Amino acid sequence: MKGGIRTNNENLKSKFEAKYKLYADMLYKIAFLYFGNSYDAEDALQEVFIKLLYNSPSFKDLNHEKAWLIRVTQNKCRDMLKASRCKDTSADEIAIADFVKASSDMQLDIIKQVVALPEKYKTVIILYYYYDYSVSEISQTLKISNSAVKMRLKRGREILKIELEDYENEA
Amino acid sequence: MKPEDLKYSINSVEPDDYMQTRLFAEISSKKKSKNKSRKGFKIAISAVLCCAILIVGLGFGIPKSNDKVTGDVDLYGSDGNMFIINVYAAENKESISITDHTVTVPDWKISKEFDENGELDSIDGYGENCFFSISGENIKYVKYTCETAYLGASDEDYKKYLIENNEYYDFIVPYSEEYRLSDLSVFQELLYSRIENGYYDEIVDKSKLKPYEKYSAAEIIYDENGNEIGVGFVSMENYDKCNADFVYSDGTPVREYTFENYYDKTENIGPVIWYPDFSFIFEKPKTSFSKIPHDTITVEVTFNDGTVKKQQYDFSFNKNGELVIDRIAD
Repeated sequence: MKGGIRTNNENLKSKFEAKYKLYADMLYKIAFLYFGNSYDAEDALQEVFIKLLYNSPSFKDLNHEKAWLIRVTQNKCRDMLKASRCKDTSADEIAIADFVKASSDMQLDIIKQVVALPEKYKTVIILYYYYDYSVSEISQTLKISNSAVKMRLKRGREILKIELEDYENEA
Repeated sequence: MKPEDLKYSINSVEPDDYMQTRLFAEISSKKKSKNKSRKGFKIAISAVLCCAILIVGLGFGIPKSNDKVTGDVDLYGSDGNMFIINVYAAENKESISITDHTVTVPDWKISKEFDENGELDSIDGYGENCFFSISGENIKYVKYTCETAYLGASDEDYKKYLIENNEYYDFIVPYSEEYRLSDLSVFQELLYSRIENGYYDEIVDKSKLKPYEKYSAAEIIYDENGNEIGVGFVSMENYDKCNADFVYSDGTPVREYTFENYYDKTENIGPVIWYPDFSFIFEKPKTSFSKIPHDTITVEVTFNDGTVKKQQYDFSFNKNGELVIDRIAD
């Protein structure tokens, strides 16, 4: 502690840095897959971190905090999409390639198709396939029923399967 | 496409190296402007409700900007003890007043989404956006119960009370600068092992130390100048006293919560979140929302003089998916 006194800004910074290390990557991935671009994803994260730093409930543990953040991020992304009326933006119209470090065309196409998924499927797909959440964990995290989670996973999978049929055959 | 392909693809989505710096710059500057704009904000709403806009007074009205006059002011007897239940919906910026005991909340609207095969995809438009709380004078306790839905409660007043009476934290150890490097939760296990190994024997009575899993997330404690001065260990038991959300850790639904009005508040006592149960719709997806089994919310208010007033509200949805709240006759 410099001189034994730390300013509020230093406290804020240290708290922000700690939370950023823990959650930024996950929340950014979720937000990016809503918008398909870094600019909006970053705007969403900004609001989410403001809420976390200034206006969050007390959390039981990291999992509780993480679940809350996922829900807040998802809701923020939805609100922003509604407000900007960019719901109909096709993934192909956005230069997603500019924002990701995909190492193959297939990876890029997969990201495009996840971005193009209807909103409600995205978070469950990411949590289930990328973060290995179980159906019941997703249900608890998003506060939706198990059957809703299964339905969203099923529909999301079906859409991806159709849209990525070429790669399906290759596999 | 294999699941691993999806993983590798999502893995390639990552923030750039400078996002942290940009975000912090924005966050610290935005906070300053937010503080300014809040100075004139008259309505006391809790932290979790700061974005809540729609306020509906049930029972008798809360003055609003429109011209409608709300209902009877003497619904709860002539002994001077009365309360208002306020409902907050989070998304729309319009506000409405109530002239009757039945209230439709158009901004709290749900909808069904079907896929092309006619299967129900999801029910949209619900979540953590239906809050209600109590306003009134001389209130000692507010007890909420529901029958079929789930409640979420974060009792900040109780937590504050326990902290002030040195009952919230099992023990507090000095803050260390190393915790700045990461989240405290990451250090909690290390901190616990230090306690076990006698590092804080002068502060912590190890005979009272609970197993690690019996503690909730440790919390940083600040002095009045905002400097970190300690780390408080909170038992799961104490955490659960102040927090109940959706289901308890054993899976039991949260359907009852009692708030004590420790600080003689007259507004926004005990905000709770109401999570409706939509399993009926998932079982019978084509059924109208109006057929969803109603939920009964019971609000029992105990006043300082011991008087108890109880009022029940029927929560349901109309065929358009709008929330309808009906005060059940005494």
